[in-house]
Amino acid sequence: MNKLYKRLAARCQSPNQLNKLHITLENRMTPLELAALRGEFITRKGNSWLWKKIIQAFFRIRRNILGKDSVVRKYISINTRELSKVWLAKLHDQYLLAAGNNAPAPFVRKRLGRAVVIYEAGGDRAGKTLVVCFSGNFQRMMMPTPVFLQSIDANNADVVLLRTEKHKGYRTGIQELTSDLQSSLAALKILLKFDEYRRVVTVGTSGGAMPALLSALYWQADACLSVSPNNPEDDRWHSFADGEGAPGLFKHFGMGEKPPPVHIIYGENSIKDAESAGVIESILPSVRLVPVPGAGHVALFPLLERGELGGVLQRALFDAGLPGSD
Amino acid sequence: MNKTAIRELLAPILQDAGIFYLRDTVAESDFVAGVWDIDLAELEIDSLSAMELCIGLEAEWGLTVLPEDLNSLGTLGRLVDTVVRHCE
Repeated sequence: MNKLYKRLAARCQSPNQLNKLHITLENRMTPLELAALRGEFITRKGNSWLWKKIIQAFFRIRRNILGKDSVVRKYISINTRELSKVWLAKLHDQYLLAAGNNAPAPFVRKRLGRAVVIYEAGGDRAGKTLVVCFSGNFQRMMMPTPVFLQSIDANNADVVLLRTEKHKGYRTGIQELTSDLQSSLAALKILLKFDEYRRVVTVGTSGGAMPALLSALYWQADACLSVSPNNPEDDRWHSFADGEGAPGLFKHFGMGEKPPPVHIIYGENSIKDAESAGVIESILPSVRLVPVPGAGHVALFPLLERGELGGVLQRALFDAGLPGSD
Repeated sequence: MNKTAIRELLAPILQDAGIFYLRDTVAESDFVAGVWDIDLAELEIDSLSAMELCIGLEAEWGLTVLPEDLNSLGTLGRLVDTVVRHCE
């Protein structure tokens, strides 16, 4: 990873190209890979006073050279190494460590297809929970993937990250599996060997939030966390609703008398998301709403910043549905 | 390249960057027609979306704008003007 990063970063000719590389890596890296990359690039302590001053001075000098009004350039020379350090210091020291535990979670990435990646740390699956994640915008869970993974106990869970092609969503199935959602879910159940796990839970953010909920119904999963889901009454879901609106949609995906416990997280500042959550709650009896004060659509990230993400994931995914849970 | 063509290309770039304001408010056709404009600050672009938008501008037109400088361009219409000047 380190060699590959250096080779690709060296080819970047603008900060935007480097940002693109960083976003791509943020969507795929494991916490261990991030820690290794940081270790190679940053020898001095990333959060020291001196380091922060150096970084601030670098950006001040760069801005002075470029001029306040000259925001558009055909070419901006970049100090790749310095920008890499800034990125890694922020990603690792500010976010990864905020997710808890000083040691990086020992997940190892294994690609099962173009749109299916599993992160696992070994061990007996019979004692583990499989967390199936439906990513949303930018193919991530509202935060860099290593940061999300760091919030999950690698000894107790394997994590699957699903992606879709731009603008396609999950309604037309999962790439390389099948071309409709339900048969893709059936194929995933076999591919991911659900039977080997103690529990299976689903998580989805934004465009992946409703598919996570529907898949939890379809698979009769043990729990579901749906973050800022879209409205089940939206036109996009009509073809699945059998003419009965949102109740028809949920029935179509197998909603029985005892649906799995579902936590819906949404930002209080997003009126649209609050409405969607209310519609779902009015139909699904097992829904618990978790509004996030001060948050907009990207409601999961503020929980990380407040140090609450690990606790929320624990309650919604690992404790929900177990005897004694509320 | 004329402004309408640039606006037509810019609309999906905004969506790719996770900026759904135009799509969600049905303002897209007015924007493409050049009869509607909005302050970039009002689009509530988060840092990741700003990066993606700048990447999109650079990939489509070779125009380098840094994410932190995006809002200083003013409005979406002025961004289109900037692209026009850059392409001339």
